[in-house]
Amino acid sequence: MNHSTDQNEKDYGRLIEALTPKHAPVTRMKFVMPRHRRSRLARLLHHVGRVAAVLVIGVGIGLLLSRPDTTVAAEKTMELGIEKLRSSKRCRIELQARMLPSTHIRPFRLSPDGEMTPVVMNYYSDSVNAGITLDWVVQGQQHFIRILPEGEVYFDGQKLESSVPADFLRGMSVIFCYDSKKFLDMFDRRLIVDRDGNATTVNGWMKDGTVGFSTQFSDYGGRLTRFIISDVSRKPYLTMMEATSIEYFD
Amino acid sequence: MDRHKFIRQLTDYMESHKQQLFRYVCYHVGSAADAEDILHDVYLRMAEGYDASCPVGNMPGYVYRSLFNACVSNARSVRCLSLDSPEVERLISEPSASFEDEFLRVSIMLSGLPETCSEVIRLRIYGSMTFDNIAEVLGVSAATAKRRYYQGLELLRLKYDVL
Repeated sequence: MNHSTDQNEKDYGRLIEALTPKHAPVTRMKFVMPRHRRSRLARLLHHVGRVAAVLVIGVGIGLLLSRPDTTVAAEKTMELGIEKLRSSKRCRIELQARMLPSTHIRPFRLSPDGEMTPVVMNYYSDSVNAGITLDWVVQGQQHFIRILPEGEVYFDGQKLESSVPADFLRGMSVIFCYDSKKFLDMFDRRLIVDRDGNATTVNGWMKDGTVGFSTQFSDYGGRLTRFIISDVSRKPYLTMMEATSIEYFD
Repeated sequence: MDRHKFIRQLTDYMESHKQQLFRYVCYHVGSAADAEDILHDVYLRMAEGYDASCPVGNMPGYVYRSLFNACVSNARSVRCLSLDSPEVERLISEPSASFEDEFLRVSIMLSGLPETCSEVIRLRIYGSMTFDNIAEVLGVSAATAKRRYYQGLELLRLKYDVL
C-alpha cells in the first residue's frame, strides 16, 4: 500500500472504522484435501469385482450344496448304464486294451508296459449262450476267452483253473451278475457328472487313486456308449483301456 | 500444474485464509451457517472441477471470484427498510450489538452504492484483500479497483454525514 493510499485511508478513517466488522463470526471448519477420486474405470472394476466375488461365493456355496445331488446323479447314471448293459440280449464292445503278450499259463495281462491291443468283447444274457466272450489278436495269433455264468473260464478252448486275474473276474461278475452298487463301491464316491449335448459323462477314480475312468452315456437311452480307463498315477495319464464301439442287440 | 498439486495449494490457501474468506462470505449473505455451506461447496467445486488446460495463475483471485459468484447465486433480499426510517437512523448511528445488526447496517449502507463500488469495499474490508487481488477478482485494473473503493467511500461519507 503506497503513501497516497495510506493518506486516503486516514481521510476515511471513521467511515472505514464504521464498516469494519466488530461482531464477525469465526468459523471452526477445516479444509481437508478430498480423498483421491477414483477413475470411472476403477469404480467400474470395483463394482465388477464385488459382483464377481458374490458370484464366486454363490456358485461355491451352490456347488457345495449340490454336490451330493451331483454324486447321486452320477451313480444313477452309471447304475442305469450297467442295467442297460445287463438287460440287453447281446452287447458287443470293441475296445483297445494295453496288454502284454499272452502265454499258455497267462492268457492276458493288462500292463502299462504293454501295447494297445484291439479286443472284441461280447456279452450274452440269453439263457442258451449266457456268458462273456473275448477275442483278440496278439503277434498274429488269435486268442479267445469264454466266461460262463457259473464262473468257468475257457482260454483258447481249454478250461482254466486260476490263471484269469481275480480282479478281472470280480469286476466282470459285479457288472454283469450282481447289483451295480457293488461295482460303484469299487470307486471313490467323488464322481463328476457332466452333460454335454445329448451325452452324459461321468468321471471317477478308484479309491487308491491310481485308476481313473471316464464313461459316457447316451442322454436318451442311458446306455453306456464309451468308456476310457486310465492309469492316473502317471503324468500324463496313460490310457489302459478304451472302448471304440459299443453296440446293443435287443 | 497437476490436479493433485492444485488441490493441495487450494486446500492450503483456504485453510490459512479461512477466517477472511468466511468473513467475506458472511457479510455477503448475512448468515454464518450459509457462509460455511458456501465455502464448503465452492471448495469442493473448485477441487473437482480443476482443468489442467486452464491453470490458475492467482489463487486468491480465483477463490474470491468463485466465492463472489456463489454469494450472488445465493443472494437473498435483505430486509427492506426505508432509509429515512428511525431504525436505519439507529442502526447507522449506534454501535451494533450483534453480527445480525452489523450485517444489516453494512447491507443498508452498501445498498445505496453502485454494485461495482460496494463489491470492492467488501473485498477490501471483509476479505482483507489488496487492490491487486481485487482487480484480479473483478477483472479490472488495480487503479480502477482503488478508484471504485474511494468513490464508494466518498459516496458513503456524503450520504451519512454523521460519520
